[in-house]
Amino acid sequence: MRNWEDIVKDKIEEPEGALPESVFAEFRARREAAAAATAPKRFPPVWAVVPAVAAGLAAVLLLHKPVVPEGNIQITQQPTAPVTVVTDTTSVGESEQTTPLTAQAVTPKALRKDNVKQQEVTTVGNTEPTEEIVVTQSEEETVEPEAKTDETKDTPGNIYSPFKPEVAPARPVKMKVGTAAGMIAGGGLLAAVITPFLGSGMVMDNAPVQEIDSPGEPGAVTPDPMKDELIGSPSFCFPLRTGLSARIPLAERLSVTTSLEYSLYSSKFTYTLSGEKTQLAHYLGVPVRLDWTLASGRWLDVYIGGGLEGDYCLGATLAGERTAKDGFGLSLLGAGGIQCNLTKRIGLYVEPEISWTIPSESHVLQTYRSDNPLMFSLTSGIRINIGK
Amino acid sequence: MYKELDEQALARYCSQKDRMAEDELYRRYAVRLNTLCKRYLGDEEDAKDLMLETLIRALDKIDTFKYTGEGSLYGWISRIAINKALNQMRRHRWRMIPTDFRVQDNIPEPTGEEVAEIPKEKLREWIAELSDMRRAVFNLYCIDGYSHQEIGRMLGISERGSTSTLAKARKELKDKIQRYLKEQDR
Repeated sequence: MRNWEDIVKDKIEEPEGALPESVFAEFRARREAAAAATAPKRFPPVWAVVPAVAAGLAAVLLLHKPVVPEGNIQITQQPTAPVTVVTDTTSVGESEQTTPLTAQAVTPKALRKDNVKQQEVTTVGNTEPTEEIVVTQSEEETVEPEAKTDETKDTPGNIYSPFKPEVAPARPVKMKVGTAAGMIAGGGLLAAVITPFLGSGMVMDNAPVQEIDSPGEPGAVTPDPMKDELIGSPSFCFPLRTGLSARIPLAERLSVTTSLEYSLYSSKFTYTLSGEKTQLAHYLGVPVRLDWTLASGRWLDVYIGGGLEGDYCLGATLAGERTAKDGFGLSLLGAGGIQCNLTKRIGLYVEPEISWTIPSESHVLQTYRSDNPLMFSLTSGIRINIGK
Repeated sequence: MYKELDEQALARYCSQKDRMAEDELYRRYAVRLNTLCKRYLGDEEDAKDLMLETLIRALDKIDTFKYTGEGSLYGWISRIAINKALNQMRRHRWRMIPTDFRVQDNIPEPTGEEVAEIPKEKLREWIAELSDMRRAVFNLYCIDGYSHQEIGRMLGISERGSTSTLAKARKELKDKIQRYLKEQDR
């Protein structure tokens, strides 16, 4: 006896009736369009070489500049006896026959030696960057290059040249930021901007009425005006939370969500002498939740979930100075959230969350959370969808 | 001449951009592909578009086809169609989230004979009414013979997720079949 599914399979696999002729016509039209889009160029590739060569030549002619800047060529008088006169008809020395001009390349070593030894004559056209071109007019002025060499330090690896080295203008570093990276950065920025905005101005004066000695050690003590003691009620800011989250789907709608969340708890305490001091406590939490997707689309996911969160206090400061910090804490949490999918893998999320902190001896700091074990918070951040 | 060509020869002619061979490819597979696309997308117009896209894509990539035996050309084209259909599902639509959360299934299994009496149009209609994910899993597993592991990889869900989605799809179909049978009995 055959399974009902096999019968369903046979039935629905049966091809339906013939397609109308218009579909065939559409197929042909699409095929022609696709073929036209990928059609090879009609002219042979050799014709492409002609404009390329022409463009190359034009570029060389237009953009070519001599390597040696004109300003660095020094004109000095040529000593008559030891120097060989260059009879280059094209050189600059041609016009002055009585004091012929010669071009010479002087190596760095030669510059430091006597004038007699530096008379190795080269043509003007030699534009090697490590050699100096000197067009001399009289012997007296040949001291000039020597004076210049004194300025250069005789250190290993330093190439002596009377020319100032051509320093390429510093080019701005061009960084190609991919779309995904841009989106991540944008998402992070957005999360960073949104979170404090949501948190600002939500200072809550809901601390116990009793006066406390220090933020970390609550106790009823009568304030002494001579001592710097805590007075009044501390005020707590709404916690700021942001994180990097990962979601692993288990089934069509069920997924495990975990993240690394940073939380900042800010509290303000007033002291008799030093005035108001701000306590900042930094926590790193790892919530693990089981989420149920209520609706899912390409751009948006809506979900609810519940789970546990373990957190560790990274450190705490009071008016910039380190104070005692909380130990490991555990809380139960329930959250609803909206995730905006920037790409298939990356999304931005905003989660209103309700959590209950399990009382613990290791909690020594007085924060919004210690005052409200059952608290509401808003978390935002970037989420990586694994295997979506 | 082209009607007598075997799959390998047809693919070869198509790779040489032989228009007649391409037309033959359409004539051989268009209807079957259209049925397959309709199974996955549930909509007639979308299915026709997808079928044409698939054929154009197949002709474009026919050089990469490797003949492994009779039926391998259709198998290759149908895989292109399935991949395209799944991509389209991900791209365009909100996934309809069904409201029956329970997987527990106490609906009696219909017999083969009972199902044989149901017109195929009805069965197609019910499959089209399934949510995108359930329809995809049902088609991939029950009709096209993919394993849960492969389905999980294709749809980005776990193997267990695929099993559970299939169970829900089967339950929904059985429910519709039983209701239909009851109505027929009256």
